[in-house]
Amino acid sequence: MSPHESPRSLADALRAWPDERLARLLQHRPDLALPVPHDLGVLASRAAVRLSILRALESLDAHQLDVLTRMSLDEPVEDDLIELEDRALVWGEGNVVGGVRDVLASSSGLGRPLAALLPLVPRQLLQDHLGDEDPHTVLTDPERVRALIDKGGDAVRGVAQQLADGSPYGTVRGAKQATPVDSPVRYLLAHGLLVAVDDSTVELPREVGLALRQVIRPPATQPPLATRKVDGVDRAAAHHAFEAVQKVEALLESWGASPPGVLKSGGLGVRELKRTAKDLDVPEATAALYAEIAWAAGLLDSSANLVEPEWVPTHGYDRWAALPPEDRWVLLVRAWTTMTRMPALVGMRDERDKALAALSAEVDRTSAPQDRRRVLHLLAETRPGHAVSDDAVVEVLVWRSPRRGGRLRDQLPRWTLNEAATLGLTGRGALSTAARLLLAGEDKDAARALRDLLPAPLDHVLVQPDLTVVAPGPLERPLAREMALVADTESTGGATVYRVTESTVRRALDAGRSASDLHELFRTRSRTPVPQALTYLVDDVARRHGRLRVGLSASYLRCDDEALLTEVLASKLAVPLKLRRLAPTVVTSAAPVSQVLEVLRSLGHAPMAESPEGAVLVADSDSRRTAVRQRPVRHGEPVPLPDEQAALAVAALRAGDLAARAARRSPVTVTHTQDTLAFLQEAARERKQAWLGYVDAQGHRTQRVVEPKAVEGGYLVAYDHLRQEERTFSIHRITGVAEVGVDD
Amino acid sequence: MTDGPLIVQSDKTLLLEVDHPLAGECRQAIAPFAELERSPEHVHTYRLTPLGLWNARAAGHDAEQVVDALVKYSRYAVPHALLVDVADTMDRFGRLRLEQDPVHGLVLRTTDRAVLEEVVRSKKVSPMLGPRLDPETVIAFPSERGRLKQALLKAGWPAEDLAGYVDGEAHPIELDQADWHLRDYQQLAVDGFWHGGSGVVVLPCGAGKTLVGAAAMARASATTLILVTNTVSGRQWKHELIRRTSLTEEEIGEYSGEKKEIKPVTIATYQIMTTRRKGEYTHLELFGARDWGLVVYDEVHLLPAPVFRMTADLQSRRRLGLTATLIREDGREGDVFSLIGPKRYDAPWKDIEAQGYIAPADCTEVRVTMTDAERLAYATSEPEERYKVGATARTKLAVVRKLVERHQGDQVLVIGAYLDQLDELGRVLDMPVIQGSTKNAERELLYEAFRTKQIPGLVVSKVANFSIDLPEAAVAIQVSGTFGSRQEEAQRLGRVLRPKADGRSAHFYTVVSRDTVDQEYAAHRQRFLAEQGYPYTIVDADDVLAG
Repeated sequence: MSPHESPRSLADALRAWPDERLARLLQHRPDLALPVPHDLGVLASRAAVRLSILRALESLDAHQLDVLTRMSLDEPVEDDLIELEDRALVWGEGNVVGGVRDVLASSSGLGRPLAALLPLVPRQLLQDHLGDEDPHTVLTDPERVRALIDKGGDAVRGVAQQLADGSPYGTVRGAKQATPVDSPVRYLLAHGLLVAVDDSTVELPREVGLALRQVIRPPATQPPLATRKVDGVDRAAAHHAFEAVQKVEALLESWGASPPGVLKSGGLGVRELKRTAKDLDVPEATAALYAEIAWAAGLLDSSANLVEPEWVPTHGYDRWAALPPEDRWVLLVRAWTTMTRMPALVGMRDERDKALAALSAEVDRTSAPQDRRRVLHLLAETRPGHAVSDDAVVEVLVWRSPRRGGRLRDQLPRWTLNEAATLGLTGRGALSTAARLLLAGEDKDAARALRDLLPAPLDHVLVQPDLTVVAPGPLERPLAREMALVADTESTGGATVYRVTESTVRRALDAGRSASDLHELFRTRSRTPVPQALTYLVDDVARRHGRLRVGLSASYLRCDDEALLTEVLASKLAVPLKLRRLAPTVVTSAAPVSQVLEVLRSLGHAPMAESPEGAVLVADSDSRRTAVRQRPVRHGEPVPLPDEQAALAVAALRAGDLAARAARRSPVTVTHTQDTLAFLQEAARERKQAWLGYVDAQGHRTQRVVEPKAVEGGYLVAYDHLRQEERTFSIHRITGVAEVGVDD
Repeated sequence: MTDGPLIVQSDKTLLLEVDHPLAGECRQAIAPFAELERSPEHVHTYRLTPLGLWNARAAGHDAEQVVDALVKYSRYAVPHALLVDVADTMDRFGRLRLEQDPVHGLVLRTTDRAVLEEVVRSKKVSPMLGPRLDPETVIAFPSERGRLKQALLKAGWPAEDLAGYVDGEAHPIELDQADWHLRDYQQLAVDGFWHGGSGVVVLPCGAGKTLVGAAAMARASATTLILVTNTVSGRQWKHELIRRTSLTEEEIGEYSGEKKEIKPVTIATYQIMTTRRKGEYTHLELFGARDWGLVVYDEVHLLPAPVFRMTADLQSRRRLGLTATLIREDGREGDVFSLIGPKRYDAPWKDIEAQGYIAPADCTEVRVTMTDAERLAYATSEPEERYKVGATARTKLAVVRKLVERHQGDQVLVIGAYLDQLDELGRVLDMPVIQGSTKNAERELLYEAFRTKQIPGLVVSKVANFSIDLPEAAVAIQVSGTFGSRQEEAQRLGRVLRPKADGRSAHFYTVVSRDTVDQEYAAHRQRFLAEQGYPYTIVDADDVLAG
């Protein structure tokens, strides 16, 4: 075939393309290259598959989409088609790929064309209202359609607009009856703007619908920008970045101490989320975001306990927590950008009106990483220190790809912007320096940029007479943990305000601190003199705590063998234990259990620790951890291939194509069911004959030419030329397919 | 990062480091819009509330000033959301204004039609509004002026009341400053009030709120209704007014359970105003009895709910609220804002103390160890009896006596809540006891004897919590109280904060029984004092007895 001859099919057209253009196609539509198709015929059929077309349409901007829609309605267009051709949506002399028509017609909510509907309208009716002019001419002119509707008034426009934006069908009682024009619907019917298809159903003709469609206007070439000082932006962003890191840590610490359960259906219960949000002093949506990111970053997982699994920090959390805050931030943000999770969905209702739970499978969206990338890259296009309003971002993104995001199209960017602000990628609406570096893949530099803005950790606090302790900035981690133990947090932010109460002191004593430890802590770490009231409080609680400790921390030895106890009592090594025999078989010790155990072991005994109930005690750390569990591998949407890989793929395609054409006479074995399906669907649509390789129920291999009629439910319905009858083939028994009657 | 004295917290509290060189400057900058919540020694806590921000707007500050102050003094980056919230909140005040229209009378006017649309559609607000005059104006019923403001505040659109006041019946009143002078802050408070028209002046106990009231009356020179908490404090007002102003005894009436006089200046108690007969408030007509030019509410934080309702009808009169704290235990600060008026003046206790207008105070907690018998009684008592058993332990008597001895020569108040204990203390200390059942006449006699130092001390029940002017009291010893009430603690401390002639410190003792709920409640009350900047020391009763 010479290059000047017009191609007969998309596959034909593709064969004529230069390699670079094929490579570009694979980059525009990455799903076509996964896996690399066997030959160009397969590529062409794959390009016509509904799912792939839907994806391709998402990448079109509003203008391109408009052109394609008009072409699919066989309207003449004069626009440049190169972008549409490059995406294999249009080929040859303005041929729209078959699948595209179907997708656009079914998904755009348009009625049938006027040509099909007008014959249903009584001529007289139209003549009465439109005059003698040909109704088809009047109604195919968008301007005149709009004028007619404007004439009808607001109510008429309201009805028409509703039909144009949603389903084109409406229900009207007595639609076909001739009645005076006394309602908006009657007005529309009388003017042929709406057509009664039966006595109760009306339909909005395609052309009318198109005329009323909201036109997506191109955004201003320069989106409105607000200028901010870059260091102000960075400072504000750093503030949020630091807060996010702190809150994630607080969340995981709290869950480590008292883990929330995993719902039966997976995920986190609403009540637990509420509690966590309250503890963290953040909105529930933010708490859900933090939990999702922690999970995505591998800091959180469900415990291995299969009966009653709980959400528990992982061992990875401890490693993460030990990192400097800027590195922790980078890890969190990385997890956020790549996770296939959409935390903003948490709390929304599904079709059965059930709230979507955080950390549940329902919040998974493969499109999420790509959706975030689009927003972030748009922000990165602005110059540093320039803030774009949320509305402007939405406007630009909607223009760039109106079909992406479905019902959530206008919300997705806002969610991402919110989350980016919460995580400190943006400050005062502009992208921070650290975030720019991070988006450019410079994680190390990003961390460095952030580090310089974070407040240095402090080693002191201010203790006040009203028993509050103020940490005027972030504390060094050991001190922070100690403070969290001996006091309750009252307010957080730039500083932390703690309150020491009787119960917090008791908590510290329970955790093994002594009164002198606490005095020492306040004495050495407080910049202000320790108030007497605090000293008294600690001593008071400790005094009473001591009374409790008699039962709790002092230990006992219990042994049925009186002689053995006597032996222990007589031992010199046991003197420091201050043993006292209460009864022949019971000895108490002033030393803690651990020491008693140690001494007894050194004496060659094999003691066992008991809980107060007499159960055997096993040493356990008070905070729990779990291992990261095996996760199903989730891929985001296909990402465009890098240039070299695309070129390699094209080379493979060309080779496959050559081989395929050499073996044209009989069906080629097609390895991928997906390709088989695509081929058969296309054949059914275009009423083409096809070679079919088939294994019947007895295991006999056959080859036959069939005329596919429909592909559905795992079966192919086709006219079988071998049997001279229509029959049904199981798709999974089809070994291969090929076109018939294509010359070489 | 700057090194400012202020730290902004995510819960909208502001922490001010007092020892910072810029602290003073910063305090000046944030005081107009942030409520001082706690002022312990080192770090003071302020809070941003919608009311506080609206108070600032009412005083003529704008959002830009607030944001500037926060950004300028903040040590760390101020969360953007918080700044936006501040601006949004402040922007809500004054979108609606109550004005006097020369033709239509009281009208609600807006600069923002959307807001007016919102409120006229509100079920709560619309019944108080009349017909629309134009897109920006709607008639308001003058009788609903107060309730309208309340409802608008609830709806989040506080109205600025520019409708002005009736002058009321003129009555000449002048300050008689022959032997005293209005202090600077008192003058500022009066100016602030007069400029704003109506509102609340917040001053610590002992800082001379009565004089602010007197000066406001002189400024108004009109008939005045004064509402006070009880009869004794009413008489004290009368005394002060006679002493400090040109008013004479004949011009001042008392309207209480005992007398029902209505004169150009009438002092009524909250109690009589809220007395009901057959479910009706029978003394309501007092509000309409004269054409009052000024209504003064003493101790606004105690204003009972029925008086709020009556006040709603008084919106065309100037109203002055006086209080030591805007904190109401019932949380009705919003009603004070909309019905009495915004805060017009506020000064922290410690500042006034530093100026020497109130006495510095030493606060001490004395812990007594109960005898074994008492501990046993305590341990076996019913939970609801425990506080009483702990607080009235007889062991306290010896300590109280010792403390009184220690302060021989000073005027001492012993304050308690349980009558048996008070009677016993009266016997042991040989001091007269004043309690609820003591007749007013007798009370006045005893107070007078105390003031003139004929008797060295008094044992008083909680009747003494409020508004009794006993400037000579230098020592207060509290032995029991109303559980953990913070207000009570402030009032009691206030008793001893009047400046002493010789500039001595006042002493405030709390005697508590160790290891009982008495000690817990004391801790709760003292927290309030510590938050006000009065740290207290704890001593053991044995040390007191030995000393």
